[in-house]
This record gives sequence, structure tokens and C-alpha cells, in this order.
Amino acid sequence: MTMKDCMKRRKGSTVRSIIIDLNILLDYYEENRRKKYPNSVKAFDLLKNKDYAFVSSSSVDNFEFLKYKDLSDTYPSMSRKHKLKIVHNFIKEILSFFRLAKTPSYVRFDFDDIEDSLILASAEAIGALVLTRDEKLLRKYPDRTITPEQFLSLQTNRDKQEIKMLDLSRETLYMYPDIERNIDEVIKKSNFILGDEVKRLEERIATYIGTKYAVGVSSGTDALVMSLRALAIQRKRQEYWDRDDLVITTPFTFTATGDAILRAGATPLFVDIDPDTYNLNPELVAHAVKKFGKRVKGILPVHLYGQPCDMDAIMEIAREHGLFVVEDCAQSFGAKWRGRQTGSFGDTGCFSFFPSKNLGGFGDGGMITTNDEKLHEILLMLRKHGGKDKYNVDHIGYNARLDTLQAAVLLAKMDYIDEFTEKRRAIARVYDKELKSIDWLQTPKVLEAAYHVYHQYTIRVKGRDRTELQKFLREKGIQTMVYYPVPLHKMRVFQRSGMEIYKGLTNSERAVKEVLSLPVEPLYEEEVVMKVADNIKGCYA
Amino acid sequence: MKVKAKRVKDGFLIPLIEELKDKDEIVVEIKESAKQKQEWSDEYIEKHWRKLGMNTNSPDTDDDERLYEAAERFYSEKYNY
Repeated sequence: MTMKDCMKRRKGSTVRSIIIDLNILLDYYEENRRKKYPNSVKAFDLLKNKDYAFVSSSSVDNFEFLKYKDLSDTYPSMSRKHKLKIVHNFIKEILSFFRLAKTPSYVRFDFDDIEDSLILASAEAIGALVLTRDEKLLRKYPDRTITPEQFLSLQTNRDKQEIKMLDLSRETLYMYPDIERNIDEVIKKSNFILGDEVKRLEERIATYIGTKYAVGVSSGTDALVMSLRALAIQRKRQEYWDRDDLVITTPFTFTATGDAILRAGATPLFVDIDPDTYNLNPELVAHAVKKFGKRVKGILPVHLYGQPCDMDAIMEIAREHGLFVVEDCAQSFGAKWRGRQTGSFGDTGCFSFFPSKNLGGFGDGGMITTNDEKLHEILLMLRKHGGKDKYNVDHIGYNARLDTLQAAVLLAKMDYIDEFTEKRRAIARVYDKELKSIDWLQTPKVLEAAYHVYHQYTIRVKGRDRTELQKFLREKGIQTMVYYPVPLHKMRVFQRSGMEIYKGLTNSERAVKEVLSLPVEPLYEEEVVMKVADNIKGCYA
Repeated sequence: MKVKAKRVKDGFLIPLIEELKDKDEIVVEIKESAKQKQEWSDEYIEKHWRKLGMNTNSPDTDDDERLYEAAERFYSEKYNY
């Protein structure tokens, strides 16, 4: 394959995982070979400590055998003990630089070369290329291998690499050993429904958020619906709210926030947002409560993009008027208001573990946090068809359990949440610094009491054509997204099914036209973030 | 004439080739290089392991081709040492 073919094949792809073959490891750890194969050394050094660089588990003992033999041949009188010491020191160092890629159970053996079969299987399992000088391997599997020269050439063309909003594959591989261990455990026990892992996750999240209870459910949307239903059962002794009952929320959010209110029987009362934080404006909430009076039963604030709402003001309004508060924390896992976690203020907090969330699973999942024992009891019933005994139920329930497998994955990922939050915040600091001087662009405004977790880093494009900026960035290989393009009060579902609006929603209507979210993958290096910022600066120039 | 003597628990085993079959006794002369004369201490290895490891002299053959012989050597020493 020519270098040109190699580049063409890989054009438009983000960095692929790399598995380093045995010959490259041996090149690195012998002076004669380092001189003979300097590109192996350069490639190895570039890949050191990168989260996308691996060695195959099948290479570890092969390295041991070959290096041991080389020591035996070079130092015939050296004891076995000493030779093993040297070899094992090298292996420990290799394993400190690179992650281990397992040999999966679905190896397709080529009996002409079993060793190559194993490393190729490792690579296939994680979508990696094998970095190698082995000519036989390169010839036989050109689409699955890469030489040091080709790899080095790709590094000089990093400006052609795509920058997506997130790189979930990369995140998964970063945490892979922990995730794999937990999944293996579930498979061993086959406790797929409400296994130990669900309970352990609930306890861990309750402790993290600072509530007494947490209930694992099937999605963030279901968390909202079930919270509202549970509050109707608790407060009105009814399965659902009445259509006349109003729940205040923002129109500038994902549709699930609003339709959860409809599904619980109530009507959403849309109140406008603060133009700087994009969150519910508490002053307008207070006025709306005064205007609509006893019809208002609760407030459903959304901590949008990962910035908490002003919970001092919202909880004060709720207390004064005897309203419930259900927090929509789908985007705010780890966010804090005055040092206290979102999800711990209201009657319930509703979290989503959709894969792209700050704490995301391998599919849909959610969690409801609460300090209320009675609500907790009701939620446990609603999750499981509506009763403590599934053959004799008390309420209209759901099949809304969190899978054991999802809980297992999330338990592993919880170990990384604070680290990843800090990485997001570091990316935000780079964007803030690089973009603040652009007069047609507004960077996120963060309230002093808020600890923002940047589920999204969202800018506002002022007085310019946002689609032009999006197109310009797309041509540079940079993905952006609009969250959200249509406010809820403009959606047919709410116009037909019922809604109320407090005064105008001008800020929400303006936001949908101007906001743009930028790539915020926690594992992106600063140079990647700088590339995004530099290209933004270059637009309209 | 060179003969390969295999390492066993208490010494080395020389195969009974044609040239030796009538002998009752042979004398083996061992020539040691300066490097081979060096005594390896734990402290020395602790201090110089990297340099020693990096200064090996692997043959210029495909690593795959030498792998099985290397594994055989490794396990032979493991169980006969």
C-alpha cells in the first residue's frame, strides 16, 4: 500500500486505537535495534501514555521469552533470577505506558501463524490498527495494520482529523479494564434484572449526590415521569395530576422535560429563561406563581448544559407556596450550587445515563434521587409494574427498571466522573480564554455560586449567521450542534395537548436561533481544543 | 567440532555423538570472555538492569521465527534450573 492509499483510507477518521506489535516493543528495548529502526522508537514515544495505545495481552509473554533469550545469549553466566528481573522491569514499564488489550474469545485462528491471529483478534475487539514491521502481517492484512512510517506520517496530518462533539469509543477504551471486569461479573452471575450492581449503584449515587435514597430506572425521561406520578400519588392520592394542574418549566430544553409533565397528567406552564445562563428565570417563576395561583403545583427546573439553576431562589418560591420541585438533572451529574449537588435540593432529582451524558451508560438508563421515604417507596413500586408484589399491584406502574448490565458499566464509570468533569472544565477554560475577545460571540456566563460541569460548552452567535459558522467549521472537520433548535411551546405536541405560557418567551425564542455547542470530549488534548477555537476566530475573517 | 550441551539440573548434557561413542572420558575446556567472567550481584542488577537489558544483541532474524525456540529455552530453564 502506498502512503497515499493509506492517507486516503484514513481520511476523515479520528485517531484510531493502536496496538503495538511485539517487534516494535523489542526495537524500543535494544540499542542495536533502536539505531536500525528509529521510526519504531519515534512511534513508541509518540504513543506513550496515550489513552488510545495498547499492547496485546498475547504479546506480554512473547516479549518475556524473546528478551529472556537475548539476555541469555548476551550474558551466558547471568542467573535466571537476574534475567527475569530485567525482563519483568521492562514489562512493568511497558504496562505503565500502554493499556492491555485482551484476547477475545472469538479469535479466528490462522493456523499458519497463531501468534498473529491473537494480536489481530485483540485489535479487532477494540477497532485498533496493529503497529508493526512484520512484512507478512502487513501484506496479509493491509487494512488492519500500519507501519511506523505510516503512523508517523498520520501525525503530521492531524489537522485533517475530524473533531466530533464526543468520542465515546475513546472514553470506553480509557475505562475498559474496569468496565470489562464488571460486565464479566454480571455474565458470570447472569443476574440481569435488579441484580446487586443496581443496588450498589443506587447506594453509591445517593451518597455522591447527598440524598438518602436513589432509584435506578430505565431512562432520564422515565425518571421525570415517575417522579411526577409519585408526587401526584403522594399529594393528591391520585394516579395522575389533573389537566388543570400546572408545572412550571422552561421551554428551552429537550422535549422530554415538557412531555413528562403531560404524561403525568398535568399541563406545562412555560416561563422564560435568563438570557445569560439559559436557565429558568426565578423572578419570572415567582411572578408566574402569583398569576396562576393555586393551579401551580410544582416547578421543574432544568440545569441546562451542566450549569445549576439558582436553587436558592427556586426553593424559596417552592417553600413559600407549598410547591414540589422536581430537578431535571439530565445534563448536570456532578454540578453543584453553593457546593451542594444538583439532585439533592428538590423532592426528587432526575438523572439520565444516556450514553452521551457526563455519566453515560451503554444504552438508556436513569436515576431518581430523593430524601423522602414515602416517595422512595412509591417509586420502587412504579418501577416494577406498580406494586411491591408484581402479581397484586397498587398503582398504574411501568416496566422501568435499570438493567444490571447498565448498572455494572456505570459503577465502573463512576470511578472516573470527577476526573472527567475536571477535564471538561479545563476545556471550557481554554475556550473561555481563546474566544472571549470575539465581539460577535458570547461565551457561557457562569454564576458565582455555580459549579458548571459542561455537559455542553455553548456559545451564542450574535449578529452573524450561525449556519455560516457551522458550515465553515464542518468544512474544517469540526462538528457542532444546536441544543435546541425549537423551543417546546412551538412544538405541535404542546400546542395540541395543552400548555400555558407566562408572558412572552422572547429569550427562549432568541436562544434557539443563536446558540451553538462546541466539541467538549474530555479526552481531547489542548491542541485539539485550540484548533476549534482558532478556526472559530478565522470564520468571517 | 562444536557440540551443543543442554543445561540440566546438576550440569550440562552432551549428546553421545559418533565421535565420542568409544570414549570413557572427555575433557571439556570452557573459554570465558571478560563479560562472562563478571559476577552478577543483586545490587549490580538493581543499578544497571536497564543498560544490561538494552545492550543485548538479538540476531537479525524475524522475531516470529525465533519465538518458539525462545519459549522452549525459557521453559527448559524454568523446569531444569
